[in-house]
Amino acid sequence: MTPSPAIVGPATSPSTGGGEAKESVPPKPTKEVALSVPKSEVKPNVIVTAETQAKQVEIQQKTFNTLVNTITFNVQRFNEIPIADRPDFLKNFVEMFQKENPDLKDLTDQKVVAEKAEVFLKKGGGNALLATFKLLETEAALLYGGGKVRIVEKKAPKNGSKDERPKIIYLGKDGMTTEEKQPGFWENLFKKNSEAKTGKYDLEVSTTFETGGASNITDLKDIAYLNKCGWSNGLDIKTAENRGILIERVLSIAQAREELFRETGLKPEDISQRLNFLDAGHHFIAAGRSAYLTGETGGGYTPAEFATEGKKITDEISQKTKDKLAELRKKNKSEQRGKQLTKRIEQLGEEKNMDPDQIKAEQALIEQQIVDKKKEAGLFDSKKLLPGQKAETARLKDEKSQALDKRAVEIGVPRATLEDWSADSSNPESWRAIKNQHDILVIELQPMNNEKTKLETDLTKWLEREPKSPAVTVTETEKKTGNTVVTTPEKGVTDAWERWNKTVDKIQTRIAELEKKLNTDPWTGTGASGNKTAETILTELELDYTRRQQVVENKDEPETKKAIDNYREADAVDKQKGQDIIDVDNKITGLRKIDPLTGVLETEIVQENRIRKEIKDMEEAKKNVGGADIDDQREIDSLQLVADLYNKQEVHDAMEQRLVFQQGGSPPDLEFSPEFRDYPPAVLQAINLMFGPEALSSTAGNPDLFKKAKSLLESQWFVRIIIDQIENQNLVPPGGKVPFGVARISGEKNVKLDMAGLKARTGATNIELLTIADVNRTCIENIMEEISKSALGYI
Amino acid sequence: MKKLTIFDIAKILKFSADETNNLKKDFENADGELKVEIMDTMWSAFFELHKKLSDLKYKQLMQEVGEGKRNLTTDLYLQAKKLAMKDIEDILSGTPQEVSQMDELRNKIKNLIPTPQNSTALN
Repeated sequence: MTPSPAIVGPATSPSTGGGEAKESVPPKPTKEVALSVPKSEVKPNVIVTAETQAKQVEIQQKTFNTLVNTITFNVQRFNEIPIADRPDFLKNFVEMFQKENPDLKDLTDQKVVAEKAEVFLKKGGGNALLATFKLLETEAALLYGGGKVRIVEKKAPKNGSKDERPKIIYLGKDGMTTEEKQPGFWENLFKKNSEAKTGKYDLEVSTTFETGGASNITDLKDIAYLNKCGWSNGLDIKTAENRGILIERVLSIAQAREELFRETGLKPEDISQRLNFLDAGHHFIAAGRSAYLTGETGGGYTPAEFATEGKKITDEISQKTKDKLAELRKKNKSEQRGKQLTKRIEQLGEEKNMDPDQIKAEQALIEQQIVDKKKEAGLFDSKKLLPGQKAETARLKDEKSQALDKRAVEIGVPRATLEDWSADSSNPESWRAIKNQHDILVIELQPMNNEKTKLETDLTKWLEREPKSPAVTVTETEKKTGNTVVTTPEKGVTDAWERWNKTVDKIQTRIAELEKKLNTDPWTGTGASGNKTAETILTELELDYTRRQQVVENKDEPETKKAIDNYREADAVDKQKGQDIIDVDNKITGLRKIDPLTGVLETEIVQENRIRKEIKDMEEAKKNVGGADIDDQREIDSLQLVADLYNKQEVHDAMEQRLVFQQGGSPPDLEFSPEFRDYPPAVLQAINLMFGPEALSSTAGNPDLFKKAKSLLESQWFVRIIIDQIENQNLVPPGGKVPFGVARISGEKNVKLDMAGLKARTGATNIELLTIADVNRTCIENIMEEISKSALGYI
Repeated sequence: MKKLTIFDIAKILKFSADETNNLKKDFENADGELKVEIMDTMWSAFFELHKKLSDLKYKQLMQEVGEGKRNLTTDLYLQAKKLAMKDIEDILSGTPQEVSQMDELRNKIKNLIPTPQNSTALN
């Protein structure tokens, strides 16, 4: 049947300004006839007292009265409207009503019609009720359309202004309620499948009732019907009287309708699906069927139908029970987990029962470890400083070298010789070797020198033994005679002179020979060196060993020694610095460890970070001697967060609410403090969903939560679990996963993996590409479960 | 009526073997509070089932009264409850419900033969 918007007019009709209405004139509204529930009588049905119970009974009676009145009113209208103008729904209803009451001959007798209406409603079962409700529904639809009735969300009044919009009391699906309850039934009244929204609403109505033309009511039969009911086009519905009747009529329809919903459990869409006035024989169902329709056919239940119904009941209850048991199982598991985690936290936090001396001894031990570790850290500092230092030592060495060059020039000795001497300085007796050479040469030259000396002595003597008489022929002229007298030496004299000359010549010749050998000819004996004479060689050797001796023994050459020493020292320092660089590198390499998370040798950056972190951890551990160590404290903080999800209902519920939004496609916004800037967004969203936005903010006013969330993110095994589960849910292929290496061994400490350390691993993997929407409920549930198992030592 | 256990109730509610085993495991491993909750769940289900089956039986009896097959007495609902309990006991003992099965067969045969009554559908 086409659901044409027909009108079920009210028992009262709006005023057109005239007097009491006649049969052919739309009647005036009269309060006494109105079967509506005045607003003042609607009370919330929350407390059952004698008074409220009475009101409830009254309202149910009023609902019944509304239905009876609807039937009588419509039968009246049916009589008034010309046959050709009667709307179909009205015709059908009256036809049905007449068939169910074949003895009802006079439809104009209102009293009899009312009596029959009561029987019709009580005995006609669900179909009768629904047929009558449809009359109400179509009336409401036409009033809604002609009066432009709207449900408007109530806005808060502007500051300082008084909210003058009228309040409306709404009826909820579960009974009578106040305005703040679900107003959705208004939408349900006129539309299907609408969504109710809680809040305050107003019922707005137009200034005039409109039909025809461009209005919502254009069907001629609907218009004819409305006119007969008194709702004509152009009727002023601003007046308190007309407006009041209109609103109250809609209210009473809504109230009656809500009773139907509440009592039958039917949904609004069921109404239009179930309504069918015209069965094949226009018969109602016989007694024995439920008045709340189940879509049954005419007649009673068969035994098979009873059996089927019994089975259906059993199946429903069975499934409900299984669901409840599953819920209990899940809840129990959750509770057990919470208890297990609490116990584990207690174990980790147990005091170690140490007396003061033990604590001191332990702290001293840790202090020593810190010192040793700082030395390791110092290697990295050195490595950074050494190149600069090496450059400085090289510069100093160069400077001293130039000074040495200068000194070499000053003393006329080749630089290489000075360096030799400087090398010799390491062997204080080295000059003696050169002296030995000198001495050997002296010895070799000694015979010649001795001979020369002797010959020179002999020569001196012979020269002293020059014959007295000259061995010359003297030619004189006697003065007296003028005679030339030639006196010739005597033979003995000449012989003496001859012997003397020969000897002196011989000696002088020999001396010359020796001198030539010693001082002129290139020496060919020991230590010969090119064209150098023996004397030269001897002199050079003497000079050499003397200088060396002086340099070594710092006698006469302090400047040279100083220059050599300075250079030598600078050179040694520079060489040492070069060696230091190699040594530091070797030591650093020697201290490198296998990264437990990747399974391969750590890089230098990772190594340095690890060592420095270990120092901090040791310093922290030193402070915590007697209590939980730094790694245990981190695990305690992390587990405390997870345990609260299991143990505290309000924390769990808050998480559930965030997950609902996440699942619904409206993930909670992700905001976080700079301390977390390099974490993958999906990882931070997991924290956000589990613990809320305050966990990621250092300034949100919950420092304890923030500290614990940071601990969780810095726990190497737990952050790994978070990433693993997100990757698994998003089917990240093996090549795109974060390479974490071997799994945790039971009892292994949850050492710190800081943000930089994690970033070094996640940088080129797919976790960085996943978004906050990629973290779903299953991720979170798995994260909680796997963290718990990890903490408890389960695989 | 014999004294029922929650495992009897599981049988009445047609739990599968796995579901019954799970129930046993959960119950054995449960602490006192959980045991109470499990028992409460099962017994609530039992009482709800009994009530609804009793209501259904009552309708059936009332229909029989309407058809003249039974006298209307003041203890009709009590009778319904007893019948419902018997059905439950039959399920527990595994007694096949032959009567309803035969009725079902008869109705199937009957439905194969069209009659005017069978075509009056209201929806």
